[in-house]
Order: sequence, then C-alpha cells, then structure tokens
Amino acid sequence: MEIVKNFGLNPVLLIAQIVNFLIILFILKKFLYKPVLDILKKRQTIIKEGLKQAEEARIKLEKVVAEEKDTLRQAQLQSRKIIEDAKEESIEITRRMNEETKKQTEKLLNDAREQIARESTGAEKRLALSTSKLAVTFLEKALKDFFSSKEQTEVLSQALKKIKKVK
Amino acid sequence: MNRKKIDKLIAASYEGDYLNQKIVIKIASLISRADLKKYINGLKLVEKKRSLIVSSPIINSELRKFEELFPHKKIVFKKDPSLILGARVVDNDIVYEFTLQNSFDKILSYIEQNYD
Repeated sequence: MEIVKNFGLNPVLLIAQIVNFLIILFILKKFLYKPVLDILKKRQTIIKEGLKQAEEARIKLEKVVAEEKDTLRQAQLQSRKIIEDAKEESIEITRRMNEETKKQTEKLLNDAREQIARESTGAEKRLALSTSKLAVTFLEKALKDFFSSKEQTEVLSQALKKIKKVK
Repeated sequence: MNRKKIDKLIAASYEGDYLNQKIVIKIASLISRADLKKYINGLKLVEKKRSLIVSSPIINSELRKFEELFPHKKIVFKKDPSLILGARVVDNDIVYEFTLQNSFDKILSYIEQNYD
C-alpha cells in the first residue's frame, strides 16, 4: 500500500478512470468501431467481389480470345476450302466450256461441210442441166434440116405402126 | 334450154361426119345469146373429139395413112420443124409422141430428176 501511496496512485481516481475508459470504450464500440468495421467488411466484400469478377472477366476474355482464334482458324480453313472449291469449279466450268465450244465448232464445221457439199451438188446439177440444155439446143438447130425426106418418112411409118399397136 | 336439147341441136348440126354450115347458121340465128354460148362450146368440144391433129416437120404422102388409121376423124396436119424428126398425134386427150424433140426433152427431164 505504501508503494501505491509512494507511486502516487489514487484508487478512486483509478476506478473512475477505469469506469471512464469503459464508458468511452462502450461508446466508441457502439458508435464508431461497429460502423467502421461494417464499412471495412463491406469494402472487403466489394473488393473480393471485384477481384472475383476480374478473375472471371480474365477467364472469359481468355476464353473469348481462344474462341476468336478458333473462329479465325475455322474461317481461314473455310475460306481456303471455298477458294479451293471455286478453283476446282472454275477449272470444271472451263473444261466444260472448252468441250462445248469444241462440239459446237465441230457441228458448225460439219454443217458448213454439208452445206458446201449440197451447194456443190446443186451447182454441178445446174451446170449439167445447162450443158445438157445447151447441147439439146445445139442438136435441135443442127438437126433441123439434117434428116432427109426418106428418113422422115421411115420414122413416120414406124410411128404409125406403134400407134396401130397402141390402138 | 337444157343440156339435152343443146346436145340434140349439136347432133343435128352434123351431116354424117361433117358439120353443116347452113344448119349451124340457122340454129345460131334462132336461139338466145346464152344458149348460143352453150351451143358453141358444145360444138367446139365435139369438134375436138372428132378431130385428130398430126404435127410433123414435113408434110408428105405418108401422113395420109393417118386417115386410114382414124377413118372417122377429121385430120388436121400441121408442119412443125421444131419437132426435128417423127410426129406428134393429138387425139382429143391422148397425145402420141414420136418426135426427136420429145426424146431430147425426156433426156433433159431425166437428168434433172436423177442427177446426184
């Protein structure tokens, strides 16, 4: 007790101080620590949520990037395939067109040959006919006074005989 | 006037194988214009049937044999040098062709039809 006295401690004051301290602690706890802690807790939750969302977003982004790459790869493959198909189709169309052109050319040539042959035959026929007509005209003129009266009479006799037979 | 009467008039116009000019003139003066037309057409037809046309490049005595061959026909001889040789005989619708010119025509026709 001596020591306490020498030390300068006043028990009543000490108790009062303790009570004050407790009151202040209660007040602080009631009106300051709890809201602050609540705010801190909320903030921690928000931060956690943000971190979680950021992580999810990163994963999503990675996924999207991977999908994009995949899509690009697919598109490239598809475009290559389309180009290849188009090339093959163009080659096929060219081949068909060439064949068709060849056929048409052959047909035209054959038609032309046939027409030439027909026209040649027609021209030959016309020429032969003209020549024959010319020959006949020539003969008619040349033979007009060629036959003697005796020959004429002989032919007339034969004609009479033939008419007799027909009658 | 109907066809029968016209035919009777035409028959009456003939004396034997020959047409009587006097009768024809008399009939022609008695009938109407329309009947006259029919009568003339009928006469032409009968004359055509009774006639025989003989065309030949020359006219000689050999042609007289046609008169023996067609005794009831009125024979008309025509000189046609374009026939060259032989004779063409036209008996109404029948044509007998024995001419060199016809042979030439046949040759030409044959060439025209069979040339290939």
